[in-house]
Amino acid sequence: MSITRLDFAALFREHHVRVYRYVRYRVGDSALTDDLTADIFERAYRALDSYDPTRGAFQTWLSRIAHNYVSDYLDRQAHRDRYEVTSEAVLENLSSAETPPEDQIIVNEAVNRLLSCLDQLTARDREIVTLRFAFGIRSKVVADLLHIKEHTISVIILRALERLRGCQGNS
Amino acid sequence: MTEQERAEQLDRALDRLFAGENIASSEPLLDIAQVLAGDLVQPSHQSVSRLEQQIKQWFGPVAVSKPPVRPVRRLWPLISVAAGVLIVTGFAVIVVSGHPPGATPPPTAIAAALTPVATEFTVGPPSSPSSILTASPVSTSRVTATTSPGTPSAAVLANTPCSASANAATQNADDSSALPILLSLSGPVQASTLSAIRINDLIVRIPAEVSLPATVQAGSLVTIRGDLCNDDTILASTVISGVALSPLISTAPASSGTSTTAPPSACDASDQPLAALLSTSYTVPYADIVGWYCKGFAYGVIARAYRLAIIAAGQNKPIAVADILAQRLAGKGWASLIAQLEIRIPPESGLIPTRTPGAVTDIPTSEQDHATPSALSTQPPGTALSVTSVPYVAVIVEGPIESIKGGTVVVYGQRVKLQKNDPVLTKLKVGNWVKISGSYGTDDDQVTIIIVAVTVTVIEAPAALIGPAPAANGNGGGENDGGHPRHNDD
Repeated sequence: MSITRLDFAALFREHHVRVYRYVRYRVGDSALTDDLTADIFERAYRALDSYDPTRGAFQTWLSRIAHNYVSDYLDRQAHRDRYEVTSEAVLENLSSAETPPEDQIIVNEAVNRLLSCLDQLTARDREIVTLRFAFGIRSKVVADLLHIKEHTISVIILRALERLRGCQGNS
Repeated sequence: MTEQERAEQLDRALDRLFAGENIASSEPLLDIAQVLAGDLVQPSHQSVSRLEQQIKQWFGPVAVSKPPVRPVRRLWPLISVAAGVLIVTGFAVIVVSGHPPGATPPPTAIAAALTPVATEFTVGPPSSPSSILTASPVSTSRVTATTSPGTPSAAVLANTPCSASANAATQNADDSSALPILLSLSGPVQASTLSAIRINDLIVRIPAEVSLPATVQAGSLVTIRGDLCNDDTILASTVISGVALSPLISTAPASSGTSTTAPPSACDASDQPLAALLSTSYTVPYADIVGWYCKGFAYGVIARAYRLAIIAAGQNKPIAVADILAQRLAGKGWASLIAQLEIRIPPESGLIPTRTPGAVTDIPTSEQDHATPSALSTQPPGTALSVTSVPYVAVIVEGPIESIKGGTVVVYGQRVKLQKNDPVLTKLKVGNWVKISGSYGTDDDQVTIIIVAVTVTVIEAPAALIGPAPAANGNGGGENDGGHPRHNDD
């Protein structure tokens, strides 16, 4: 069954929360999350022709785009920090002239605590946990995406959750 | 058990969790797993607004389907209902009044049980004014919202999940929990018992496993998360004291004093907040929602039908809402429908993208029982969609109009945009108390977040603010990264 463009609109809406959560888990900052989330959907829109529903679920396809985009962004960010090289694109991503009303409304201690605990994970572990939990994709999919063995993913998640649980308990 | 074995066991449990199953496991890490996979983090208003603008730009305006015919594909997948529905007093009242099973207390008695002022409200069709209110053991095979001959006992209502409010006599189990509709609401408690509270005229049942803060009492502010059951009551999963009101919204003070007896509303009345909120959140015409409601479907059922249709469409198995409701009417349960469609319910098992309690879907409210016959409805049913630019977070604001400028009114400092040619604008005056339901949207600058009104109703100011309260009856109310490097199993 082919997917119409209107179906894609519904899919975008349905998966918005996943993408947003994924980005937020990875970058923490809410304003930046807004920007990156919008960028990811734009990228997904431009890549719609490449989506083949017979090859996998939409969320898996979208998770790959999100993963690649955020990873690229963080790499660029690290590069910029290291060499103080900026680009228009990076600046665009970083800029957020408006303080999101969300920030004015919500100072969610629980979110902050969770993000703080996620900060304590290694970049790799955080990425694995984030992919698994934000998108709800299986360990095998995460393993394929990150080129890590599936059983290793499971153990990493176990250990990461133990750390997060300990962190949450301490805080 | 080795670490690897435990990891694999946890992995399987997580797969079930993501598939929407209820997991009974002693694995302590599932707690933190559920937090991570839960809806603690929700998209910001700005993110929602941007996505909507993107979608509008890419895919054009969202067309709307008529309920009986077309499959629902483009409806907003999540709704945020922040409360404020007219009257559903049945449950808590019954809890308080202790009516025996099988006895249907008269509406006035129901109202009196929780409300000293004998206020009677109905939201159901005139012919069966209490129908929608029934806590009844709604026969899921007959679709809630029909007058039930039997009323569950207080015990049943008190500490049980949606699914336990079944009618043993008819052996119809309520299966709300098979397809949860999560929502948040905040505001002043209108009445409280150990097992139920009333807020925004919604009855919230407090299961035994949910702790009710000791400070909760009539007039106190609470924030609740829960499941909108098939029968339009809410089964709380979290109750916390206080309301994290945003600067955007203010809470009208809980009032005490007289209530105005509202006349029964027609089932398709244009001022039904929950219908308006569902309409807004799903981006479907108000008339469609009340159309189903008038056919006897409770809002909890209607919401589930739309949610199911949306999920099914997202998984390439489109089905019309009308078909779902027809099957529901024929006696099919939600679980059966899900199995029949061969779809997976996503982990965000709530249709409503509630934020952390109190975070966003604050329900500023005071006494809700004073909608008057002189209520003004801004748009006729069916036109609500046109003013919904960000059909995501639905809100209700109630309070005095502080200023009117152009098509914008200000209530408690919050700007609310109406359609510029809305006739109600000619009738509104500064100082009028209004109840506005709508959604967050952006102003003309496309940046400033405001509330876009769907309905505006002039109401009476809380008695406490307009005069002394009566002595006895005070009540308050990758770049194209090729998303497919390989076929995967998800």
